[in-house]
Parts: sequence; C-alpha cells; structure tokens
Amino acid sequence: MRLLQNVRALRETPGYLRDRGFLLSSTPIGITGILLNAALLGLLMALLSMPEELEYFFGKTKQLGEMLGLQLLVGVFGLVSILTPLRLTDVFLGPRLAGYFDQVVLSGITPLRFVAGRLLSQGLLLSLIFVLLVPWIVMIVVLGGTTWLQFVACLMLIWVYSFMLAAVTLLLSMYLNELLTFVVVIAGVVFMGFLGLAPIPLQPAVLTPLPAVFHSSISAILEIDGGQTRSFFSVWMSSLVCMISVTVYAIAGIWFGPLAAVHRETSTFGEVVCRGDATQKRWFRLRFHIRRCGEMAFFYMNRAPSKAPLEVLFRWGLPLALLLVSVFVAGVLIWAHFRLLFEQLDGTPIQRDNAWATGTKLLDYLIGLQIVAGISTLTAALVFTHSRQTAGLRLPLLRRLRLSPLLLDSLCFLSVIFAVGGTCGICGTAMNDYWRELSGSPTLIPAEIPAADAGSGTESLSTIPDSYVTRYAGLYFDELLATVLVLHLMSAMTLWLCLQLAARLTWSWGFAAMLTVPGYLFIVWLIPTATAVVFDEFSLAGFQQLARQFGLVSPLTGFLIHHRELGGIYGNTNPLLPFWILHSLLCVGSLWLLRRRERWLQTYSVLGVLQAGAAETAMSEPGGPAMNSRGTESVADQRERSVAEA
Amino acid sequence: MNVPATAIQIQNVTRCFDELIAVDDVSLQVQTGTTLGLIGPNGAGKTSLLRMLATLSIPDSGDVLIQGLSVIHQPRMVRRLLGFMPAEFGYPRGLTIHEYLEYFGSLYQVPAAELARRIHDVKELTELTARDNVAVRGLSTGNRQRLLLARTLLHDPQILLLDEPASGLDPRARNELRGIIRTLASLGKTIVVSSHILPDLEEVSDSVAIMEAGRLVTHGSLEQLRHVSGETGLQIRIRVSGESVDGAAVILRSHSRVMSCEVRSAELIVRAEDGSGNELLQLLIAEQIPIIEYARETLDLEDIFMQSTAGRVT
Repeated sequence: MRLLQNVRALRETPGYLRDRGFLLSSTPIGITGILLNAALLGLLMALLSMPEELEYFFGKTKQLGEMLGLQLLVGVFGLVSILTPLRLTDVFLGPRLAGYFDQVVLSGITPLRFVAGRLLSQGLLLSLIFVLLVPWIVMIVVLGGTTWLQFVACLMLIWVYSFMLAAVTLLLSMYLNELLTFVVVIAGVVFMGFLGLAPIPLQPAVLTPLPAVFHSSISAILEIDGGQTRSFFSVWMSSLVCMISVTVYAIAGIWFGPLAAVHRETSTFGEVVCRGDATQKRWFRLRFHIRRCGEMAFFYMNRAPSKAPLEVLFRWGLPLALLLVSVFVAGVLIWAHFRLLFEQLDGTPIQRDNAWATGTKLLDYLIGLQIVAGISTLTAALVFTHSRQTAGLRLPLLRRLRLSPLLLDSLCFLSVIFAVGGTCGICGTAMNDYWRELSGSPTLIPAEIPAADAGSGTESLSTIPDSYVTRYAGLYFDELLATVLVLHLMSAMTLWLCLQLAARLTWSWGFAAMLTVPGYLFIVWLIPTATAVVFDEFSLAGFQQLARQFGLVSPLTGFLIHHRELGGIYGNTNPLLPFWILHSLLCVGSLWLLRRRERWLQTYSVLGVLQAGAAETAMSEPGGPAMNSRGTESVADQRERSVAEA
Repeated sequence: MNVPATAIQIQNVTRCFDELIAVDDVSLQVQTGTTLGLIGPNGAGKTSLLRMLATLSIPDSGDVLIQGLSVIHQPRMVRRLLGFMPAEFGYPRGLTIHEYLEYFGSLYQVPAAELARRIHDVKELTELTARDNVAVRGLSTGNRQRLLLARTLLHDPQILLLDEPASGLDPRARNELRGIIRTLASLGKTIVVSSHILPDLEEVSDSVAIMEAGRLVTHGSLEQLRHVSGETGLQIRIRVSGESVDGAAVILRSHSRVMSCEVRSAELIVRAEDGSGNELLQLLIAEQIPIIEYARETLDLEDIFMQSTAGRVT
C-alpha cells in the first residue's frame, strides 16, 4: 500500500509531469508513429528482398508471421535504444544550460525524486510505442507462426531493458555531458547487442533482450555447431535478473551522487583552483561533469541531512561492499556455470575422448574469471579515486580516527585487489581440483587420450587437430591462473596509481579518468601487442626483434602468451621482463609524484588558495590558525599569514 | 510560530573566486517584514551576496543567518524560507505559462490539491491570468519578469531575494512591479531587492545598502543615509522671475544662516541651516522678490549613491 502511494507520489514529480505533457501531445505521437512504422517497413522490405540470406542466418526458413514478430521486437528494441538516451541525457546538464538548475537546487527536491519521474515516464514512452504497434501485432496474429508466450515474454524483457537503459543513462549523465553520455550509451548498446547475437552458449550480453529475442535462431546455429544450448526460460530469466541488477545499481549510483566529490560536512564544495588552471581550462573547455558548488550541493544537501554523518561509510564503505559482493557473486556464478557444463560431460561415453575439448573449456573459464577481475579492478580504480579537492582532508571514520581520502582510497582499492585475487584463486583452484578428478591429469591436455569407439560417432584422437594437442600440451591450469592473475593485478595497480596522480595533477576528476584509462589501455595494452603482431606478420626485417620486445610491455601480450596464442612469436613461455620493468617504474614513479603532489596541495591550500579541507588539518595542529564557523581559516587571516610567511 | 525580529543576519561574509574577492567582509541585518534595497555598480558583489543568502554559494568565511538558521549548516531548512528570483530567466523548453508554474510547483513539492489554488493566486498577483496558454518562450521581458516573480512566490516563501527584478522593463512595467513589491511587503514578506534603477528602489525600500568593489559602503534607512552623506542643513529650490534672480541671490548670500546659494538659470539652489526656511522666505517677500516656486529639497538615492561610491569595480 505504501509502495503504491510512493509510486503515485512519483507521478507528481516535475519530470513525470513534464514528460507526460510532452509524450502525450500530438507531435511526439506522430513522430514516433512515423519513425516506428518506417523502421518496421524498412526492415520488412530488406528481409523480404533476401530470403536466401535469411535462411543462411537463421538456419531454417521462417514463416512470415514469425519473421514479422521478430522484426517487431528488434524494431522496438532499436527505437527504445535510441530514444531513451536522446530524451534523458540532459536531465542534469539540461537545467544548468537552460539556466534553472539553481531553482532545482533551491526547491529542496531530492536527486532521486528529481530523476525518478523521468525514469517512471519511460513507461509512458513504452506504452506509446506499444499502442502504436497494435496494427502490426494484429497482422502478426493473422499471419500466425509466433510462439505467443515467448513473444510476450520478450516484450516484457524490452520493457525492463528500457528502464535499465534509462537508469544507466541518468547515472552517466551525472558524470558526462550530453554528447558523451549519448555516445557512451549507444556504443554500449551496440557492443552488447552484437555480443547478444553471437552464437555462444554463455552470452555475456544478457544486458540486452536480444539473446532472448533471437533464442531460436541462436539455438539452431549452436545445434548445427554441436554447441551447448540453453532453454528460452534460462536465457530470459538470466537477462531479467542481470537487467534488474544493473537498474538497481544505477539508481543507487544516482542516490550516491558524483563519487568524485566528498560531502560538504567533511569538506567544502569549493572548486579548488590552483595557479595555471585557467590556462589549462582554456585548452580544454569541455565540461565533463557537474562541478559547481551549487550543482554538487544538489546531490548531497538535498539528499537527506540525516545521512551526512555517514558520508564516509556511503562514499567508501558501500561501494566497497557492493564491489566485493559483485566480485564474489560473479566468481561463484561463473564457477557454477562451468561446473554444470563439465558435469554434463561427466559420465558420458565420450568423457575421456572429449577430455581435450573440456580442457580447452577451462581456458574459457579462465577468461571468464579474467573478465571479472578486469571489470571489477577497473571499476574500483575509478570509484576509489577522488579529485584533488579532497587533498588535506581528514575524514572521521570512528570517534577519534580520522583518515585522509587517499588512505581510504588505498585501503578500499587494495581490499578489492585482494578480493579479486582471492575469489579468482579459490574459484580457479576448485575448478582445477575438479578437472584433475575428471581427467586424471593436472594439465589441460591429458598425457594419454584413449581413442573413442568407432561407432560412437564422437570425436576421437584422430579427429582432434594436432595443433590443439601441440599448443596446450603440458599446460597446467593452476600455474596459468596464478600467472595471469598476477599480471592482471599488477596492471590494475599501475592504472590506479596513474589515475590517482592524474586526478591530483588536473583540475577535474572526469578529465583525469578520460585521460588515464583510455590512455593506459591504448598505449600500454593495445599498441605494443598490435605492433608486435603486425611487425611479425609483415616480417619487417630489423624492426621485428625491437617490436617483439616492445610488445612484451603489454599485459595483453602476457595473457596471449600464457594462453598459447602467440606461440609463433614468443614461444609458449616468456618471463615478460619488459612488462615488469615498465609497470614497476610506473608504480614507483606515480607513488613518488603522488606523495610530492599531495604535500604540495596541502601546503598550497594552507597558504590560502585552497581554502577547503586543509584548514581541518591545520586546525588539528597545535597553534594552528583561527578558524571561522566552518572550521576554515578566514581569507583575511590566510592572506596575512601567507604574507608574513613570505 | 515565533518569527525572529531579524530576518537576515549577514556576519562578516567573504567570498573569493580565485584571486578575486567578490564579497569582502560584509556585515548587515535586515529586519523581518522590511524591504532592503541593495545597490551598487556592476561587479560590486550584489549577486554574489544574494547567491550566498540563497544558499547557492558558500561563504569562504563568515556566515549568514536566515531567521536564525545558518546557510552553511542548515541550508535545507533555509531554502524552505526563501524565494530567490535570479537575474537570468531560465526555463524548461516547450512549456506554457501554466505548465511552467505547474512544473516548478511540483519541484517545490507543493501538494497537488493546493497547487492549482497557488498557481491561480500568483498569476492573479502578477497579472498573468489571461495568458495561461501562452508559450514561455514567446514572452516579452516584462511578462518573463512577472512569471519569474510568480514562480518565486509559488511555495509562499517568507523571505524574497530579488536580483535585478526591474532589469529590461519599460516604465509602465516597472511601475507595476513596484506595486507588486509593495503588495508583498504589505503581506509581511521580508524582501531584499538588488537593482540599478535607483528611483524604483527608493520608492519600495525601507532601508538601503550600497556596495562597491565587494565591500559594504553604507547601510541604513534613507534618512540615515542622507545624514551620513552630509546633508546636515536644508536645501531649498526657489524660482523667481527672471530679472529678480541676481537681486535675490545677493540678498540670500548676505544672510548669516545661508551657507551657499547657487544660481541655475531662473532658479536658486540654497543651502542653509536647519529651521531657517521660513525666515528666508519671509525675507524675500519683504524685499518684494516675485517668487514663482519655493520647494524644500532632499538628497535622492542617486545623489547618495554618487557621493558614496567612487566607481571602483572588483
């Protein structure tokens, strides 16, 4: 009852009222109708013009009704994917650019309530689209050929997907400007969409409804390839769970506010400006995220005053808890999935013969763990990096214990690193033990592979490509897991240190993140590996050896070597000395510079330009300067003192 | 509810932007139910001060108490008491006047049942009733200012901060705006108005604060400011027939209680001691000077402003 009342209350939020007024007016209804029908007609014409390709792609000829149903779902998916970011990217920056954000802040409305209306109005958009689709649905009914239960289930999934997309767009729009938000969301949708269409049994892209929409086609292809198929319900349910989880995470993220800043009770929202910043800003006028005090205040002051004393817990504790739980759950899910996969093979007549194939599945399992490690450490690096506004702050953790944000960041990031290492280590060891029990061999390729019965129709040693045996022979899974994990964690640590340093050297956390993360991934991960491969491919004499050494600085090269993918260039083992040298240098250098910069920022702040947190540090020192009601030194006092010190 | 006698208490407030000191150690008090006119040249720090009062900007040092609540420590509670009308008119796209007010009403979480009545009331006060379905985008400057004011009043705030409300308005619209402000003042609202249009402020303000280069130059009621500005005596403007001007000037200058007498075409501007007005008038009549007009003059706000400020900007 109370929930119903809250939902009703949300319908009185400004965002919902405005969207309702707009969406239920003639112009958007007309435009959406035209767009939707044009998209569906275009898709239908294109499909009808190439029946052979259809048969090739979908495995069997589809009935027209079924095809129409499929294209209708894809059309709605496409339209939702484009319209949602288009209408929601300006939720925070729009009012600022239109000049009424101050009024939003002053109204006292909570950030969540402010965006909740717009999130709720996503339902209106979907309703509008579904109503406009009624003639098409009638046509599909008349033509027949569609499994109705699946069709309705897919529509439901699109509904949930649209809310997830809306929540993610709203979250991103808190950090990025409109254009960047739109680009990131669309790029994510395209990437996930393609992954969702890939005929692999475990689709990592269950964040789109496409695996469920194309379930029959993907299953048909997997059956042809002899792969493992999943039931429609399993795909639908996993998609639903993943989408709801992401939606909840995104809403929690909005409620948190921009993680780059710290609550004003423990800081000031003062935009910290150092000498030379103005020149830097002239070069980069892009505004990546909300930074002005009044704007920031919206996310903190308007949230709920009772939450203010728990800010450290919210800002560090809750993200840490969420990350740790996510890492653990993801590790366990991957372990459970592969365990089920192996158990299906276990006890069948082909067990021993198929052992090599099962062994290579262990590599898929390892890749799954690596993805978990990569995503979680990258997220931790971003979440546990704060802007230089926090330099010099001491945040109350317990009654007398005050820690600096840098220390809190370090503790949290290291916890994630340990959690990732621990989870992957435990999951890997458990699977390794199971594999030993299953195959009787500690290596991926059992030393002796018995031949299969001639009449079993299954693969035997003779049908296994020699290259597989050669490539994976003597590869121990536990060793591989340990080596790859160490590479991952070293790489994550280096990236985090560089990010911390960049956040203190530049004026904006967003700018630092956009500079460091893509920079590190391209310069340290991709370019060296690509250079080594390209130079080797074209056999460029003289540079080949140099390119090989250059390639070894990349963790990606390390992974590929350990996965035995670059045997032609590097052989099956390599100590990766250049990787360790470069990453050690980057870590030590970043640490040294970070320490210097942190001290400089603190000193500088006490001298008067940074009036924010450093005053707290000064206050805790005996004989420190006089403070005003906020606990900061007055400007006049600071000036006077800095002159005296000079 | 007990309303404190002092609605706004500004205590040694300083606000800097990088090297620039926008507001420098300003202290000021505004009594409940009174109207304060905040004047100063461009860049004097008026808007920065108003933004701090509105909790949109945080003082670097000092504090502001709104009905005893600190804008630094209790901004959420302060915001409920305030209505801030900014100088710029920002609005969500594609709304009519009614939708605009409905949007901001829901933003301020005015209960739905009450919102319609409030919208009706503020539209009536600001004379926007006839323009319900007009698009906000096409409004004239005058009507935009009315709409801004209507929006500011939607949640019935006790304290109003109006930043340049008369900016860009024609004389008729300014006159109407003055009327609205007077009505609001009569309803017991505490109002702070910043403006460049000094005659308007003079008419609606109970007290005036003059700022220059971030500092508060002077503050008080108009009478107090006149006194501070050096108007200790009496200023009289006397218009006589053309041929008698010089004779009248000689007579007045020779009087012991006259401090100065200036001739401006057919007019004499006389500064004399307090209480000497009747005496001087009788003297002129006795000397058979044909007097066409006789008027006591006081310093207006513009004079005080010009005397108080030196044209410095931050």
